[in-house]
Amino acid sequence: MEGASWEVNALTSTSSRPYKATPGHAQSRDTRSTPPDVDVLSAGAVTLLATSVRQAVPPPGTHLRRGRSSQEASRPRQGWDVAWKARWSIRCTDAERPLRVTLMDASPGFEVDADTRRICLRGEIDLDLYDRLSSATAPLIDTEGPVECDLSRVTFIDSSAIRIFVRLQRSRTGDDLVTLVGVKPNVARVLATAGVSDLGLRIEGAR
Amino acid sequence: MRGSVQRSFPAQSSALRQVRRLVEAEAAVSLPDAAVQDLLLAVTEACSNAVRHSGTQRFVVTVSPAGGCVEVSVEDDGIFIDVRSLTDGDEGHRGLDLIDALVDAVSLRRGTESRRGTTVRMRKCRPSESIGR
Repeated sequence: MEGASWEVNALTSTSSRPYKATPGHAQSRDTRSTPPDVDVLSAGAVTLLATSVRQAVPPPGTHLRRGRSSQEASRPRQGWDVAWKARWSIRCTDAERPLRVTLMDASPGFEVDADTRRICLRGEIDLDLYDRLSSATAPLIDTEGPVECDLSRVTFIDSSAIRIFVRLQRSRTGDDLVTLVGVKPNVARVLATAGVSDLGLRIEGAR
Repeated sequence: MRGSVQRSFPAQSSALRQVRRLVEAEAAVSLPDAAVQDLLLAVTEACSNAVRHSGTQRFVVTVSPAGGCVEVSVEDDGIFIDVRSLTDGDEGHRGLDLIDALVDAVSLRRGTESRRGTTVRMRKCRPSESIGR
């Protein structure tokens, strides 16, 4: 299992001193722990070079700029995804309310517990993970009872992930379900587009 | 005016993430986040088909801005296999259907044994309701 890699480089407009997450975060290896919140900078123009950053909750009045487009975040938006390795200019105009950046481990991975019938997925789930995930979830096919699949740390899924969900659902009998929990809006959109709820999968959004 | 960006990738599943990083960086300039996400999934499906089924060694991804739209083409030197015709229960092979549902326009040139080379061309546009915001 790859360790988590927490790293934030935030460069102020006045100095190029990179901001580092605290050592505890930087060396975190517990991928199941709650993602740490980090106050990046209190105010001023900040360029955030996001490497492992997937979510940022900007305070009111924060101006976000990516590429040439610019928009103002009128209110904090949970689950606002920072583009992978994209360079964002973020201007915090309210010194009282610092920018909060949520770091999470976005490296692809999973844990499967056949006893509790619980699957935890992480990062970008695509064909690259398919064979390993398919083998790891195979023992669940012959089990009875509901299956829970935690997608709260998933940032991307494609049809190969959906194939695995559907295969699991088809292996359930009676009223047992496969429930996808912690589904973020962008992942929910993919599931809706693929029409998986018609196949009996239950989807619960991120809290 | 930004020009096209083109890059060749080995036909391996590990290349899919790199493809998304390329497309993401280019498309984010022209499209809102939701549209970028749709495009990333469509491109991933097109590239996955090339990696899994076509028998190509490499594939080439071209990203071109076109007004309020972004065009992405995925070209390989392989053979097009309509995976929807394969028997695998009903559990999978949603790739092409997903692409259809996700982008505004898609065209497909099918590679055959005698004329190898499949090209999937996809266009994703800024949603009309967001114009003027």
